[in-house]
Amino acid sequence: MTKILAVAWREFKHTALTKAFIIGTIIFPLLIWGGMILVPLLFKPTISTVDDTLAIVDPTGEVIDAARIEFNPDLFRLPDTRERAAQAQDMDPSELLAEAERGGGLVGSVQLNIEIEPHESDDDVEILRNRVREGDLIGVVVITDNAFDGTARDGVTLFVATQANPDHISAIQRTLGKAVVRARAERAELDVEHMQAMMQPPRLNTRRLTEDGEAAAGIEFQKALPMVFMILLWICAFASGNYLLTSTIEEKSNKVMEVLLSAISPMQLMAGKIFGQAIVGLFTISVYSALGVAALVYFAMADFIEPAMILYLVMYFFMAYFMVAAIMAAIGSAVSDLQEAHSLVTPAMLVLFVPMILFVPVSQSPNGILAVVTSYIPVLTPFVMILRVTSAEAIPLIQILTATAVGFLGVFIMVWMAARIFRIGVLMTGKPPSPMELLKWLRYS
Amino acid sequence: MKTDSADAAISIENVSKTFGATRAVRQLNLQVPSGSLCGFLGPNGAGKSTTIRMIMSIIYPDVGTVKVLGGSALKAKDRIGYLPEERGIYRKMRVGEFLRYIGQLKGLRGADLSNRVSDWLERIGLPHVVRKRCHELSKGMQQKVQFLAALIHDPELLILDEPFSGLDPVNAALMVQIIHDLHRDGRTIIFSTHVLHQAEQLCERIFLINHGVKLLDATLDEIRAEYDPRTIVARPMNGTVDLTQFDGVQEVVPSSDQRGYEIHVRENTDPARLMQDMVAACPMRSIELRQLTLDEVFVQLVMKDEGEAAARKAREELTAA
Repeated sequence: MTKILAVAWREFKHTALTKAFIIGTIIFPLLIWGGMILVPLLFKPTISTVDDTLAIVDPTGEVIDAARIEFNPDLFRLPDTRERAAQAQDMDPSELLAEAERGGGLVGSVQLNIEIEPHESDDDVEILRNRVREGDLIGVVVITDNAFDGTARDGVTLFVATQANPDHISAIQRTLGKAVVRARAERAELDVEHMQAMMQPPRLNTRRLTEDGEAAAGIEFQKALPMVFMILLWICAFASGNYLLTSTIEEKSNKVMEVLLSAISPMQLMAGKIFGQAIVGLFTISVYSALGVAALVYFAMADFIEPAMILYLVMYFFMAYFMVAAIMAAIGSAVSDLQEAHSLVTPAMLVLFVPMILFVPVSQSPNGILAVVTSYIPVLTPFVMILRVTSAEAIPLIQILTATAVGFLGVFIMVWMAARIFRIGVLMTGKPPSPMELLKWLRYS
Repeated sequence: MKTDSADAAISIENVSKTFGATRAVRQLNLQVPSGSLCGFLGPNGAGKSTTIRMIMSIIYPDVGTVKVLGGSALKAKDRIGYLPEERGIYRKMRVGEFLRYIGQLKGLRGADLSNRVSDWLERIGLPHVVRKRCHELSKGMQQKVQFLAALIHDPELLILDEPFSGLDPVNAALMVQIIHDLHRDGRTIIFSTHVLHQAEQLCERIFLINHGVKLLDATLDEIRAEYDPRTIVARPMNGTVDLTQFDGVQEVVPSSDQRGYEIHVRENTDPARLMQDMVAACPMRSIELRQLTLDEVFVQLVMKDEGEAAARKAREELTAA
């Protein structure tokens, strides 16, 4: 046992206590989180200002009046901004102003400083269209009576130049649409402002009742939680499995394998290596979990995480890790360098990527047939089960117990097979074996 | 000299090993006496490394039994030191750490292990490399460190596979000295080499194999007695003397250094008497009965076993080595 521990400690030390690991495992996620803060700043919306003239041919003059209001640059920032401002009834005026100054927080914001050029006769349409082509006008709008018919979809035609900026046109279209709606409402003698306010759906303030009081609902986070757990499990299991693969190949290519085997048996060596990398994986998952929990505490959402979830995470991590480690140890022992390993790792990776495809259907229906069936396929069990047990739906206890038992039985079989391949593979040199040859090795006594 | 298997440090009985279509070892029987210094010899591909790996329980024989220090090598790994033919080292590990790691795997712990590491590094003249990473060392230094890894735990049995391969004469001499010292301390040492004259200078017992079959198992004295030399090397004062005139001379050829003659003696003639006759007839700068080298013994054995063509091939292989 002490020899296994010596091998395990070397594996841990030369994996986890290196600059590359510290940068990759600890600093890199922090950089990603930092990036999540930095990226919105980098992509802070810039306001694109349009100073131009829009001709409106409106025999009634009603849409022109409405357009003067809707296109008023003092009121207008973005169509969305006004909508959001109307919704944000609990925001004070300074917040609204700040919101408006930020361009509504949207990429590609447009500030319209449009001067309306009114035309009541449609005789000038062709002249105006030519002015648009020459760039004298940003566009010309032709209004007919149909524009006032709420059931008609036509009645408003906007002519723009071929080279017109689509964002600008889009902003004009939306504002023009509002102007037509305003004109219709005024013709029907309705209070437009009141009507618009009444049409806004309320902003629901959903609160979760906790044991001690209440907290923010965090529905989106709750939906994403299973995926967070599964990705964490997947990354940690695969990272450790990959370290195991490379360290085994290194020992073969460095020819140190025979020195080691003169001191310990292949089984002791494999056990020590797998155990050492398991500690690396557990260390990684602990670091990530601690950072995650710290973030949840900061955002007052820690109560989403139940202690049982952490236990499941650790249990399914070991299941996933031993499954991956058995595969990687077997492959690492059978090849002489990383290049040779690729041909054997690729089919294994294809299978182990399946959980990524299963994420959406299993998350949407944690008790559906697909979720239940895939829970009993050992290579998928840990990933599917962590998705299920961390979802909001209750999973039958019997399914948790039986799927977990099947998963660990699969782990036992995989480790047994890997051990048989490992003890032969570590001494093999030359051409790497084919998958069929690996299967033959299983039969060797 | 026969060794009782009960007294043997290594006992190999009727062992065969096949890899696919290649029969690496065939019906091999060996007894390595405890406390002996033995050479395990043969050309490249003779089956030496395969046999050593079976002795170390790294691989297992298809048939036959291998006993090491009275039992399986698996149970005696901490009592055996092993330097494999393909030298292995963790390139990024520090030298001291590497030796301590191997020592731990051999069952050593604590201060004793650290002391041994520093003592041995001192002894081989590398006390300053303890904190260096292995890849920073020269090839010769790395080989010395690998050699230390084999004996850091003070093994009862030391198995060295081609220990002098790639070593410069100074380091080879240092290694020979350490091997002699360990042997004097009562350790059993067996080493393989395809350079037969190295073993001749070092060993007291020789095992010679070719194509997985044992050709010779004897002490050096027994070999010299059995393979009676029949070549006289003579340097007459008078270079024109006709040495073929003496009774019993089969053939006279110039010696390889062109400074004398090699005289091949007929089967039924006593070389000692012929030498006396020659000295009496003409003054000699020097005259001696040439000792048969292991290379020649090997070629003779191959010729006897497999014929002239195989012997010629064996001679070429030895020359190439």
